[in-house]
Amino acid sequence: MLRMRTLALVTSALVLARVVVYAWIAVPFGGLTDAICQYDCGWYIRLAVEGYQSDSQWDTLGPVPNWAFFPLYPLLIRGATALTRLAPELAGMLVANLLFIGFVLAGVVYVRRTRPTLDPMLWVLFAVLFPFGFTFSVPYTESLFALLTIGALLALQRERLLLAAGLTALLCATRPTGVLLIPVILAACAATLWRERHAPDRLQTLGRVLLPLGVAPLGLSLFMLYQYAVIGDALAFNHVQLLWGREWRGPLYWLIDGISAWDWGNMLNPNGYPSKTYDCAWALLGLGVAGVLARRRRFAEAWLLAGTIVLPLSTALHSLPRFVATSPFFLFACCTALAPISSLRWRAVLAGGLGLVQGLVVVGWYISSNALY
Amino acid sequence: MHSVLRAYWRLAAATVLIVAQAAILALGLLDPHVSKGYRSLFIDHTMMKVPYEDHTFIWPGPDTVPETAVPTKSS
Repeated sequence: MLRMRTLALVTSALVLARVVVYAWIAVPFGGLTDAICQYDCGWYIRLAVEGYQSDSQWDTLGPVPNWAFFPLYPLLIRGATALTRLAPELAGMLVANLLFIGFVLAGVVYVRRTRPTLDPMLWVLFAVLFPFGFTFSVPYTESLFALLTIGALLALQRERLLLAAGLTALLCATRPTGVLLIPVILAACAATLWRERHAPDRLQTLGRVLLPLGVAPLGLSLFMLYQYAVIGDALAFNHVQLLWGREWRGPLYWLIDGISAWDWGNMLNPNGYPSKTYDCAWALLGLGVAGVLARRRRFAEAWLLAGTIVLPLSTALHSLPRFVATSPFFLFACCTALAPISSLRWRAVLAGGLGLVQGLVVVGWYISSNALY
Repeated sequence: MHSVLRAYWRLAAATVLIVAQAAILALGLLDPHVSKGYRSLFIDHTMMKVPYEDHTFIWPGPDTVPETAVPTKSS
């Protein structure tokens, strides 16, 4: 079995190599800093530099207020910028890549515990080369979210309830879908309470179980309190979604909307409207994978993957390909499906193919392809 | 004795955290100025439109903002 140190070295080298390739591809697109910072990246960078402001100042913030974006990742960019003196875009990329290395290695530990037959090296290669995996290197919240999710699940597996709750609190300050882990913490606490129902010291058990429940939602609660103080609306992050084209109509409405649009042709026009059917197809694929996970009794994984899809799908279709393709559980499921490929030659072919497609996807990102936002 | 104290400390901390967060949630859900009650969160999407229409946030950007934008609580 490969040692963790070897895997850490291989992962770091691969991530560094792919950033170098991204920089090389970015040369005709104005250089890495300009090319990599597409779509929401600008919002995170601006938040890191300027923070949130009230709506009386919103006209200085861009076309709409920045309240929809959660604070943890911009705070990390701000910290990294202060520490390294790098430009915020580069600091954001540095943070994202370090967190990505952390996620891949946490994934190795998780895979060894939950899928003992899966080769950890295959996981490392897959995570680095998966076509949408480039998003983990972009100044976005994906790598932070994935690392915290796996960290919380690992803590739960070791029955470290308070640690899991602390990581969930950070997750809730990263993205709205962080709240999906709260029911998982609740279930783990309930299981502990049931298991120790005959223990002599019930007071101690109750304290051990209730404190994590108080800690887990803290990230969201503090963000709500902050938004109330600055903006005057504790749910501003939710209400402002309307200005991002998100309207609560339920997942079924948007699925039907996506299928009935049947607008695959929009994918060929990078300047046109994004294809609703393409976004819908990713949502259905993700839900299918969640169903497979549930059937294999991986209930927490199925819940987290399905929730990551259904929650945003209830308000719109956009960004769903990214939400699905960067979910750790979708990645684990895809990697497990590739596990039967054991011959070195076929693995090399697979790695080459995935890497090539990822390169093309990166070019799509650099030209702001509407299939990738 | 030490473990009993620790159990009480944990219970007290948990109670304070849960009550405080319930209050924050209530602040968001029940504030009539911004959210028109709990229904604004998910159930009736049309209710969500009300506060921000009042605030005259008009797509696509700053050039379209009228000078008479309604101020918020914080201003």
